[in-house]
Amino acid sequence: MTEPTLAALRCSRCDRPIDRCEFCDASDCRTPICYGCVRVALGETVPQPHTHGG
Amino acid sequence: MGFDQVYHYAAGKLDWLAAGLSTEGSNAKRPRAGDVARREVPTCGLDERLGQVARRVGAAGWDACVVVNAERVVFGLLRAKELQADPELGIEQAMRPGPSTFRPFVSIVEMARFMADHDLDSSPITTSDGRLVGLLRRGDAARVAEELARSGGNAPEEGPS
Repeated sequence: MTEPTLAALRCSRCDRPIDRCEFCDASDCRTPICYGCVRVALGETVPQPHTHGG
Repeated sequence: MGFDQVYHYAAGKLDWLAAGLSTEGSNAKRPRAGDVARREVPTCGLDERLGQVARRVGAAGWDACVVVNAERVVFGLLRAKELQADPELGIEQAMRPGPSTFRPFVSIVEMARFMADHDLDSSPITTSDGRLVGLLRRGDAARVAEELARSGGNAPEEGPS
């Protein structure tokens, strides 16, 4: 049975596990960033409020 | 107000901006990724051979090529490393599939900063439906961001407008 692959990277902003940096596509990026954080950082979207209003 | 034809753009303001359409206001004067991206970037299709594409790209003085379909929707990217692979490879085998792409309205200052931080030479700029606008080169982004800083024009923005 194959073991599930663990993400080697964590987003440098929110600490979410990711497979690759969503800015440079590198799996060995020194400042990896997740899809959500890069879109917010570049102003392509705005931070979404917590679904429970928190 | 004197307008006789008024439309409701249902897809929203960000979609309008993402298509690279014209805007007004103080933020509209700032250079954006779509303004600086090079539109004459070499492109190729999935059915070509790498050797043939690499020769064409080199002859045009580029070290990158965007893989697109007939509607110019981005499928992949060939950077210098991929272009140096086995010339007999098909483009689909050689390319980086589904590269990260960015919208034309993104601040050139932010793009320059991110490209430097991530040591990234080029980034494809596309509309929100994935159509190629151009390829943003790190040197171009850095130069325009520096010019903007010298002219005092990189103060914080008021949000996308």
